[in-house]
Order: sequence, then structure tokens, then C-alpha cells
Amino acid sequence: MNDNKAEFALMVDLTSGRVSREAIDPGLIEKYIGGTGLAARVLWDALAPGVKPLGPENILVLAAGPLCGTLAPGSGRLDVAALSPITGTLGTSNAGGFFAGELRWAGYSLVVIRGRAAEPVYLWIDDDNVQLRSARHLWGRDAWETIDVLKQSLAPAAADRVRVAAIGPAGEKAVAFASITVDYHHSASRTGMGAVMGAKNLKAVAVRGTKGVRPARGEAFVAAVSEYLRGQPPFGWYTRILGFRRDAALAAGDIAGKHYQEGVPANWPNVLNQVEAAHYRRTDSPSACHACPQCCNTLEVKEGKFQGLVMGDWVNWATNDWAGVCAVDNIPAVGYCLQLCEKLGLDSGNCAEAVGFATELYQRGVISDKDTGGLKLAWGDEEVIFELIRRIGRREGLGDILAEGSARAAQRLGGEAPRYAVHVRGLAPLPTDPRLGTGWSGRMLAASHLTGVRGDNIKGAHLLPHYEKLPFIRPPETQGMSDDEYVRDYVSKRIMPESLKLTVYGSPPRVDPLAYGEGKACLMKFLEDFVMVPNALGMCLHIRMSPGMYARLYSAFSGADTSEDDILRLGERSWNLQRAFDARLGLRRGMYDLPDRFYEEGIGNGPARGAVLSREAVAGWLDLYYRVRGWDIETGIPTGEKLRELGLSDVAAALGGA
Amino acid sequence: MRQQLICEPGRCTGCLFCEMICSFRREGVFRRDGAVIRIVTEEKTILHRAGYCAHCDPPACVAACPSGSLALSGGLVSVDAATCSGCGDCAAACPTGGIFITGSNVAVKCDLCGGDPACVSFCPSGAMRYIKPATGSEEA
Repeated sequence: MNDNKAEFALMVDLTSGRVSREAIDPGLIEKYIGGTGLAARVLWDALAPGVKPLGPENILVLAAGPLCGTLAPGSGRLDVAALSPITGTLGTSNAGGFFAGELRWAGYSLVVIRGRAAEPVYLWIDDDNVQLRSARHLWGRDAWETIDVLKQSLAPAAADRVRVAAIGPAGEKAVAFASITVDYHHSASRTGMGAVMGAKNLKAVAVRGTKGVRPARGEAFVAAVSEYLRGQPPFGWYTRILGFRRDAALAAGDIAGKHYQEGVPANWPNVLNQVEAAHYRRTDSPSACHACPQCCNTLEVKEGKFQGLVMGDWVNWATNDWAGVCAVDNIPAVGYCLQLCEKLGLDSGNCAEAVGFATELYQRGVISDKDTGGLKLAWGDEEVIFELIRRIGRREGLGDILAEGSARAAQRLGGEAPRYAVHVRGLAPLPTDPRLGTGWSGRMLAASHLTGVRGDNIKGAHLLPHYEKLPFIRPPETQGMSDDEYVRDYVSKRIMPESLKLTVYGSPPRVDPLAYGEGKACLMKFLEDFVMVPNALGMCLHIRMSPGMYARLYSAFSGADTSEDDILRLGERSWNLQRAFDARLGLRRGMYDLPDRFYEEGIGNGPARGAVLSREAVAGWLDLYYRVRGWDIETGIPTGEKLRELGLSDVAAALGGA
Repeated sequence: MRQQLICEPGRCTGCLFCEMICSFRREGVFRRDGAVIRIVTEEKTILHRAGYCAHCDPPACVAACPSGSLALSGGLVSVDAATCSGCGDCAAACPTGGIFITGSNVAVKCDLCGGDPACVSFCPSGAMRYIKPATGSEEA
């Protein structure tokens, strides 16, 4: 059993077939706790610049944070990290479900996978009994079939006690945005981690753990969880909030319709109605990940062409991806797109970008039937979209080109194509329009796209607009308040240290979503650092918890006394290390940018019609941000002073200590 | 009315809070195998049911036990660990999947936490309920 005296890594060398268990240096645990930060540190130490993402020398790290598999709310997140085949830099991804808990119960906080197997294998972790087994019978099968076969063969009597992370055809064929599908409905989607697995000839990892984890101060740990849960609104509030967010997108006009051509696509009101319709949602028992008290939506189609389709882990983005970017006009078909991606092992977000990109090129005559293999790409034509997803997943025809992601595909297609690819360093951003200058999500979101450490802002400040949603949304219960009272109430409820509130909102507090000053830069920095805390602990970023509560939970669990300041410093350290990782590979400020079209081409319709980004404004926001971060304003590299302050002197030295 | 736990399948989200707090209360450890409630999930369709002792009257487990180690008393079915051989006949006879055989070969099962079941107090969706013995009133 894991009693917190030591944490262990399972070291797997696919080339030699050797597996071993190693204690993790306690100094690393102290500095990074676990999860994303620890995985990034392992890769910083082990991956010399020059390694190719799909070469055998790349290292794939699975990381289960220390709180995974406990009573801590949302403690089911698995981190996956490696050099990314789509960005060429540090790739980190994160999956929900129950895999991470099993890994911890089996006694491991990390699985470090090196080399390349001579032929397809899967890794079976059954407590201390760890084996590499042939996966020849699984190669070529989709991820769901693979998960079926492994659960049935490894635990026929209790299939749900074995958790499986598997790749589909997309990972086998090195689609640059291939994902790792976990237990059907969950996935480590972003940054192409599935392709890294495929390049290693590793089809799946299956795990069952029976040993468990023991908190150092158990009663204090349980009391903290209990207190957190008592402070939550009645069950069901979260799935309602998800709908709230979509309404706000409509009001703001930032839906990225038809691949960023329309702020409010014509299909959107209908799509919204369907999302809210009870007959597409399981309202009483949405599906939970491990120890989740709130649950994302669960789609369940009860009638029509897609009857019987169930998709868990249903957050907004699939709707924005497929109904927005690709203009699919009904939610069941959106669900089917997502299911195809889960089965083929594709990142739904990046796949929607590739499909939307191709459809826009076809609409504009940049590509023709000759390029598409006869597919008549059309907005919202679901059968054509399904077929293109399949071709991408299996690298057939145009799908083979799009499988590189729209940035590299654009180079291959040539002509006008590069003008329309939407990406930040190769990775598709979250599909909300960054051009919005007038709304609650615009400026902050655009800025956060350019500061994210992996090429998007999900593991970053994408929650920032929620802090700035005035004046678009005012919850009904605040209707009786005056504007001043509302602002005070609103600010008092934001999760951030009081001193930061003063910097961001001033005194008396003022909220201006259109302003961007030093306060906003501080807010971005805080949110980015803060997101790294649940990512270190193994918790879900959708669980809203104060830094103090994280510190309390971790202290009770580990037996060490970790303060709120320690926790936030840990987040900042993690963020800086990840940025330093990419700086060591040569990334500089100018490489973090949105495509030219967002600076040149206005949003086509809706309340934000005509909005464009201004290069001067964006440069100004970034200047402020870099200054607040303590990074070099010209290069964007964390300064030696900042790194040393965070206890990263060796990292500073490796970067030249500027 | 007899005291019992109820898990309403249509409201269970499969989050495992019940298993985690159950295992912690029993052994101070978080793990599925330490719990005496077991959520069984059909993962593709995401449907759950819970296996736990219903303290049946008459109890099939008591009838099935070859060593007389199980007894129903005061509305509570309990195991005498000293005489239990861990043969598993009780678990096989249990209609609800509420008896578990541990690694050290003893049958273990729910004792309703002495009348304040922890799984009920930690269930976030309200699927788990407890019916008190005398009054029949519910606690969620």
C-alpha cells in the first residue's frame, strides 16, 4: 500500500522489454507534488534537445497525482506527457475517468515509458505483477474494441475493475493529433499523445490496483472533503452552468461558426435548444469521473437516427467544435462525431479544426474534388463530415494530409491554404473566437491563447472569461441588488487571494471586461499558475476549490504542512518549468501567435461583426503579461532571477541564466 | 419497517464516493477492495448498480453459511470473523452482491456504520438513502 513514505515510478523500456519499480526522488515530490509538473520535470531531465517526437528516444509519461484515487473531489485525472508530434514541444494532456486511481492503488505515481517495442504490445499492470504482452491481435482495432477485448480477457467477471487506456487506428498511423482513449468515454486528447504511443508500438495500458492509498492524517483529510462538499450548491448546478455558458457565447457572438467565418451561425439557437432538451441529456444520473461531486453532462439520444448513442464527459467544447466550427446542426450528430473520434483515437478539437479548415478551403475553391477524393465538403453535411473523420483517423486520401494538423496540411496543400489554418504552434485553440473585442471572453481569451504553455489555453487561463463575465450575465438571484452591490458580491465570490483582488479589481471594486491593464495580466498569471495545482494533485480543473482548500487537502494527505502560498508557488514553478522546457528547444515570444487572419479579417456576423485583433494591442497585453511574469519581454524566456526565485537554479543555468 | 440502505440506480452517477468513504471507515485506506459496497458499471452505456447488504429477512446468506458464522439480529446481518472460513457460500447466495471475501479469507459486509452510514452522507447525487429502523424515516 502507498503510505506516502515514498512514491514509486514504474519504469518501462519497450526496446528491451524490461520493467522495474523505482522510488521517486522525494526532492522532486516536494517541488512538483506530481501530475503535470512532475511529468514535465522528468522529461526536462531526460529529453535532450534534438529528440524526435515519433522516435524511440521520446519518453511517454503517465502521471497520477497524489490525491488520485482518494475521497478528494474530482481526484480522477491522469496526466500524460511527452514531446508532442503536433507542436514539436512539450506535450501535456489529461484524462478523466478512473484509470489514475487504479494506478495509484497499484502503487505507482508515474509510468515512464521509453524505447520502442519490436512488435505491438500492451502493458498490463496488476499491482506488482507487471507484464508486456503481445498486442498483435489488437493492432488495427479501434480503441473501443481494444478496451472491450482487454477488459473481457483480463477480468471477465468484473470488467469495470480493469481500466484501459488505448489508442485507435489514428495513434497507430501517427496522426499528429491522435489521442489516448480511456475507458470509452474519457481521453487524453490534446497534443498527439496517442501518436507517441503508436510510434512506440504500445497499443494499450491496462491497470488494476488493489493496494490503495492511506492519507497521513486521515480524519483531517475526510473532514476537509466533507467541509468542501457541504459548501457546494445542490447537485445538478454544474450541468446547468454548462448551458449558461452556451447562452453567453450566443450573446457575445464568439462561436467560431463555419471555421471562424461566423460569430453566430444560423444553426446555433436550434443546437442550444437541443442541448437543453431533456431527451438528449441524462439529467438525473449524469456520469461521474472518480469522486466527482458535480458531473459533466451525459448525452443520451433516445430517438431517431442515432438512437441509443450515449456519450459521457460531455462538456461544451464538442458542441463548439462540431456544431460551431463544422456547422453540424443537431446534437445527436455532434455526439456521433465525438464518438467516432473516441473510437478512432482522435482529439475531437483538433479533428474538428482539420475538417472545418478543409471545408472552408473547399468552399473557397482552394481545394477541389480532385483533392478531396470526390467528397463534396459542405457545412453541416454530417455524412460527409463522418466520412472525413474516418479518413483522417485512417490516413486515407485527403485525411492523410489533414492528419498532420491544419498548419502542416496547409503547407502541403499550398496556394492560399496557409491563410485559413487556425492554430497556435500547430495546435488548434479552443473554438471560441479570439477576435472578439467587445465581449466578455474576447480580449482575455485572445491573450491567453498566446500565453498557454502547450499551444492552447485549456490548461491555462481559459477560465479567465468566467472571472470577467460582466456585464453579459447576471444570475437571477442578484436581480434585487444595485449595480454596486452586485459588483461587490461578485468580486467577493471570486476564488483568488484577497491581495490579488485588490490588484485586479481595485477598491471599491470595479469590473470592466473591456479593460486590459496590469491587473488583468496579474489575473492571467494567477489563473495559469492556479490551474497547475489541480493538475499536480491529480484533480479536475472543473472542481472549483480555493488555494487554501487545496493546501489543506494536500497537507492532510501528505502529512507535511503545505500553505496556500506554497501551493500557488508550486503552480508558478510548474508553469515556468514548462515554458523553460520549450525555451530550451528554441521557442521565443514571436512564435506564440495566432494566425494572420485574426488580425486582418473581421468576424462575419452577429453582435461582434467586424471585430479583428490589433497587433499593437496584443503586443501591449503581452508586454504587461511578461513583465508580471518576470520573463524577458523581448524573448519571452523566464529570467534567471525568476527561475532561481522558484528554486529552479539548474533550469536557469541550462537556459544560460540570463 | 426494517433499517436498510437504498441506492436508486437512476440517480447513481458511479462516482465511487460511497466506496471510498466505506473503505476509509473500515481500514483507513482508500481503495475499492476495502469497501463493502460495490458499484458495478456497464461502462459503454454508463449505467450503474450498487451491490450492498440489504439485511434481508429471511437472509439467504445465513441459510447458506456452513459454519453458522452469519446471523440476523436486531435487523442487522453480521459475520463472526472468528469462525468464518471464507468459503464464499454466503457471497454466492447473496441476491444483492453485498458480501465480500477479503484477501485474508473472511466474509465482510455492511454494518450500516452503527446507524449512520457514511456512504449516505457522502453521496453527492442523493442516490444513497438510509431508512431508520424504528420510524421508517429517511435520511439522504
